[in-house]
Amino acid sequence: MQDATANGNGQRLDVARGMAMMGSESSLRKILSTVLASLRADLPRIDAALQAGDVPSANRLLHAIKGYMPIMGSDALTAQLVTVEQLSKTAAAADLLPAYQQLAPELRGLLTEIQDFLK
Amino acid sequence: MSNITFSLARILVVDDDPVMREFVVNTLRRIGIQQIEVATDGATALRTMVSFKPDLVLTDIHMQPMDGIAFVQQLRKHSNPLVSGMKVIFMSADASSETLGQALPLGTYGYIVKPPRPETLKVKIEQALK
Repeated sequence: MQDATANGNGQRLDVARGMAMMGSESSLRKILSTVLASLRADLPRIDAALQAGDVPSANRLLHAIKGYMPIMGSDALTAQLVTVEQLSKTAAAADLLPAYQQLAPELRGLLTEIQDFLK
Repeated sequence: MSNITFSLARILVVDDDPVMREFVVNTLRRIGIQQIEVATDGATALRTMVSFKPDLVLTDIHMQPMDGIAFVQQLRKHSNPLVSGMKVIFMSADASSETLGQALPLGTYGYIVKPPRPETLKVKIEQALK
């Protein structure tokens, strides 16, 4: 079964888009290093915020990720992120958690793809 | 005409997200802007403006501890007329009518949805620098 979030190649990282948005491979590699550090720090923070029922903090973190995802993320992953971030503006933690639990593995998959690209 | 030469424009980028700061600075360099300074929040930006003397500020809206709306409100009240009259373009991933309703009355040169495309950023900056 094809992954609902990744693109047709099963990729969450869209290298062609990233190259177009950044203008060069060196610039893409540089920003992906920043994304890697940022996401590694933010994913546990989102988990902790939701476990504590702190939806505004989760929303703030999801909003930042939503801002930069179109630079290098697949269309499907970006769309899923937009949906969850939108939900985080109004939903209670109990309602947001299931949606985030579907998104989180995709974001972790993106981290792995970025790590592989940067090797 | 008081046009500022595009490539010589001094631009202050204000964003609390390191990925977006890096992206915007890279995009500004790609369109030929060379004099760029960055700040991570509104309070830092107010201090940086006095020393850097930008021609234009590109600022995020959703920041902590001082967000972009509060930053521009403070900027408009500044005692230095060069600061209070500063040209500002807002950037945000949130293009909701509520956000626009707060941002646009603050005497800005428009609104860019993040992440900005080079051509969009260039046109907006050219319009603001005229």
